[in-house]
Amino acid sequence: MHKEHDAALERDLDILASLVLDMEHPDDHLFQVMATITERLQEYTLPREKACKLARQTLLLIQQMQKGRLPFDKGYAALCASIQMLQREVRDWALQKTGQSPLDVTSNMLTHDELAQSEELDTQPAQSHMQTRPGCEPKHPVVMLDFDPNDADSMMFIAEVEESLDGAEVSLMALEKNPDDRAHLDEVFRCFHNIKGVSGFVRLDDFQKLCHHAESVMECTRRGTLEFEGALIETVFKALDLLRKMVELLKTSGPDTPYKTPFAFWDVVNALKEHGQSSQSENVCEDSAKSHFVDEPNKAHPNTNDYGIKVGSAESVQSETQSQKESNTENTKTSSLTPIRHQAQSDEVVRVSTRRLDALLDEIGELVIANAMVSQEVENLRQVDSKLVQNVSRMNKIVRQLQELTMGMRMVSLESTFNKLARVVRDLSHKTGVQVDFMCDGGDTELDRKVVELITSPLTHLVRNAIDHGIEPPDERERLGKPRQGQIHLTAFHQGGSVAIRVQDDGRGLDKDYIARKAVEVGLMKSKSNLSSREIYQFIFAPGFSTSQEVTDISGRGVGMDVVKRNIESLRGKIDVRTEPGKGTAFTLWFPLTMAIIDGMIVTVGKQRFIIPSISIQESFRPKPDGVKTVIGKGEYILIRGKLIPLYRLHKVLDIEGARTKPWEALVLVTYGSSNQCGILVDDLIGQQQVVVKPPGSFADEVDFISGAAIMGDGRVSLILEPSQVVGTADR
Amino acid sequence: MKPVSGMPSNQADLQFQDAAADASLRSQKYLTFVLDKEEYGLEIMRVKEIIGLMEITPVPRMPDFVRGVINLRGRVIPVVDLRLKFGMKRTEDTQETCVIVVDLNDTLMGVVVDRVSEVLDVPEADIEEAPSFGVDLDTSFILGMGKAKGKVVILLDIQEVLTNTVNTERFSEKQSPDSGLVS
Repeated sequence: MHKEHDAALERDLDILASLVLDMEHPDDHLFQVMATITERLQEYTLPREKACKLARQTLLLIQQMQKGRLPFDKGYAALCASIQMLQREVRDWALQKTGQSPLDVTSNMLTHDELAQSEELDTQPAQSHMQTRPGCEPKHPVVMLDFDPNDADSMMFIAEVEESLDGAEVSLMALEKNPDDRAHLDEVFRCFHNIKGVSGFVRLDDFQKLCHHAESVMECTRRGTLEFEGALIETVFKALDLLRKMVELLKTSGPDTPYKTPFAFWDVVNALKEHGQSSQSENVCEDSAKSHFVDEPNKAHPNTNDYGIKVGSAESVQSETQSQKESNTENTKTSSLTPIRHQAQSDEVVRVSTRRLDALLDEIGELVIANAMVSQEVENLRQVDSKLVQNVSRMNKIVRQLQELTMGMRMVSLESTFNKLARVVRDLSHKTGVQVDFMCDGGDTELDRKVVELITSPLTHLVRNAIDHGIEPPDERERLGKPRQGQIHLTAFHQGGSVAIRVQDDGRGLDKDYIARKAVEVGLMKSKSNLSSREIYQFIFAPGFSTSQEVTDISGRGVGMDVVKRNIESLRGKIDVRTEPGKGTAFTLWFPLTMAIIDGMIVTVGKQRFIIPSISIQESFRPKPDGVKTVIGKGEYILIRGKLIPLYRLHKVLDIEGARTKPWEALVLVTYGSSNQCGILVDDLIGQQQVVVKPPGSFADEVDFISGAAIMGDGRVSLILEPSQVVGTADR
Repeated sequence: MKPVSGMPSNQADLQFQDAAADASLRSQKYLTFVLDKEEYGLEIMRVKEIIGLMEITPVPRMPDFVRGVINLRGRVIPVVDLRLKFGMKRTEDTQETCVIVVDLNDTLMGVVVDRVSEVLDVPEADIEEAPSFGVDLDTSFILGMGKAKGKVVILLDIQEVLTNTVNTERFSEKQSPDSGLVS
């Protein structure tokens, strides 16, 4: 006997029993839920004739009561008895007592005849039907309670479902804007279909069932019999969310915490069913998909129809035949589709744990260093052996390729994160009534996988804030002379060796005075401090500052901004805010390309050696004495191609002695500060090299302008500087 | 500083109880080292290895006591000069100057000391609470005063010393007038 069947069966019975007990105010919805559960029960109990009969009886009772053919008081007692008997039967079954069940037909029980009379339905054919297949396997494998999320197949399944969900969500959002888009409609349908297929593969009944209903509805919309509009879209979104939740539950499930059907499951299923029924050609759609669904695992009996009770009424004879035709074509489609997809996937994708990938990356990093050391030695050789040089340069090339390959392995694009945010924006703007035009740019920017995973929550927070507090309600916007629809612009781009992500809105902006007042109140600053606006805005990131409700209401920002900042900093990232009252706010997040092997310029200042990412250096030159200007009160400037740019002396910023003090004897590196071009003065540039970025260790990791450390060819450590932050430090 | 035995007896009793309470904090073996003629100990379990002084890459804009970072077989770890951390005078490095690599819950950190002396067995009973040096001095980084082989060793909670922002520099100020614990 299948253990998981029993468990699922008992669980469903328990639900049913509790539903009956709570049945004080029966409504259609409740009956529907009960009918659905009982339908499932019936499937589970197929191998046991008696139990199956009881389940059928229960289902009949429910249906009769639902249709009002059976008075509630009379039916209720019968239903209770029926369920009790079913429970007893199942319990006995579970105890593997194959003997007679202790059944006494209670006085409350309705006889079969009575039931048959109340519905003009002959149960006989269906019953004989049952008898033709005693002891056959339940057609419907149930929820796998021993689903192991760490198992390779299961991981594959989860990944596949998530992938499909992502795709469906994007298409659904597109559909919402343009309901006639056939391609997206097909995509959503395909996603549900795919999930249904793969969940059949790992025998997850819940997934299959939900997707089946969703698929039916989508099918109707594809045929044009159902309009794809507000409520339906909302339901499909709910179905996606539910599936996501179910995946999460699966992921966290284990032997001790088995997967349980989420509470919302039946709500969503029923909502989907309702939509399906509201379709004009409901029978065609519902039944075609249904019989397809039912028949799929049991192709040996393509003609069986277990829904005989339900669809056996005369009205749907026609649809039945039709449905069978359709189910046959559908069948061939799925059966050929699913395995092929699987094969293709396993050919292309190998799932490797990040731990192993990291180990590989570390090792490659060491290889790069070792390679650099060898190359250097060879260069230093007096007698140059041309063969050796040739081989070494070959090795260099291979190592470089290896490095690029492994680096690419850890990088993923921000696309999926952006899509998630689009969803957040959509949901929130529906909820708050704020109209938002959400724009994304640079979704193809790649970032370290780990960063991308952890970036979603802070970004969500920022986007949420922008809608909650930043963008004004449409009416207010109109009054202010802004377009009714607010804008949130999400951009990702590379800047100076890091990846920047900007969340920009055109809302009301931060209230500087209020933040300042609040900061004084909380004791973050003295009342007469002469702080720049920039510094005042920084207060929103202060812990404790944010918890006040008033700040949220008036200035908008603040709730949990300290958490956001902490999250970002834990990824060695940075956050900055710029705002203009009435015009909007922009939060910019910078993330270093952690773990990466960077191309660095090695520079010297005094006796010290630093690495500056090549990517952030535009050019370097030695200035002429008359090219260096001092602007009183503003510091030094340097002339480059007729343009004056600020000059920062690295030795001054970093407080290093013994450096060259005359710019015309030293070297200027042209780079980007926080916004504009500027020059950084170093003593000399001694080379360019690929280095592995390592965490610089405690103490140093608290310094803004140090983005990492690298071990050089001679085994010593050099610090990697972030020029824009060097400039920032100098400005403060 | 007063010798430990000079403490009032009731206080000693009290501290004995305390000592029993956090006995788990005190392992039995301590690595002792010398800083400015004074002997200190740190739990042997914390010690990862002892390495000779190598070239240290300075980190700009760091407090004095952070000497910089070194390469420990591919890992970059910070090195703290304990002399400076305790506010003592900077001295020339000698042949005996070395770096003790300590493990602070999986973060490695190097500690520069004048000289490493020995591994000392200090029975639990021979550890006394750190005397209070005055109301305003935080001594949370001292595990206790260990008595062994006729000397008194200041047992440090190295984690507290290195990670806490406690102003340890004032420790030596208080100590310096009658420098040396046992005289």
